Amino acid sequence: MTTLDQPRAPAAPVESSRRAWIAIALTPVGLLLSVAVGYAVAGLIGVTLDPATGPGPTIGQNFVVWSIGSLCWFAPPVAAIVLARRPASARNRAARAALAVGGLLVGIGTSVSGGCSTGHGLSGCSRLQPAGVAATATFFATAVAASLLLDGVRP
Amino acid sequence: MIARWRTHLELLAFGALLGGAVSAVGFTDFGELHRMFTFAEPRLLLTFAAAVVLAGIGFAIHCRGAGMPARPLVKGTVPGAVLFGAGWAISGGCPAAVLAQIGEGKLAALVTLGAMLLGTAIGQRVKARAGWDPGSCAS
Repeated sequence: MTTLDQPRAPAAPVESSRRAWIAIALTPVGLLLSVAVGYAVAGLIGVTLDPATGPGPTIGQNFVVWSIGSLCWFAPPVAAIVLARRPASARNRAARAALAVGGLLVGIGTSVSGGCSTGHGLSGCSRLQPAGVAATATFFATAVAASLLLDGVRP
Repeated sequence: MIARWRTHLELLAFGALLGGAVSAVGFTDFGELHRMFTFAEPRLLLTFAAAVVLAGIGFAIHCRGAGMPARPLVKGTVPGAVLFGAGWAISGGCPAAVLAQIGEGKLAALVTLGAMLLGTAIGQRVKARAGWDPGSCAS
């Protein structure tokens, strides 16, 4: 099985595990920031949630989403720490674990959000649809934060 | 019957075009995506912006007089987008890109696809329990 060009497990375990823990600690901050970006953009373009669906997600519902997101974000750095001292085959396993975790998040996210990079990003933004613009701002902000975190974990 | 086949063939042609474009542009490449998200290279970002403008023109022509199909902001929109963004950055695959990756012979993307299908099933349950609106990826 070929692998994608995935983030590799760090070569220097001690130094990178320190950075991984910093990344883990910063994860909830990144998630909070990206949620804030999403709602800020929605507010800026003068949009409230669809009246038919009532008020927005409750604090409890948001907390559940953040918790799931945080837990999933923890997985790659933790896997990197655990697998840092193992041979290359284990690194392939780590890369596949990242694919599985990422794929799971994409599946949950697109179905809960009702769109993806194509639906919200391309179709939504090009029609200037509020949900498309807000969702695109949100997932882009999260993706930037997650990518910077991944860079922090890598050697 | 013939009309249905025509629709199927049109969908097939547009799907093939999308897959080819996604692959040719570099959306299937983890490194390219990562360079976009870390602002190391503006190429993909500009490509995406151009695609949005092009799609806007297409929608304007296709929907002239009839009004654009609406896409209201619902409760799950922002929380779901947070999860999707993290997953996209970690796996390097959005729903369209994963299929194109498999087509390119990157068989590891089968792992992403499987996880994505499982995630979609979980997402549907989450939505049902939370009472959030249903919605599809493409509409």
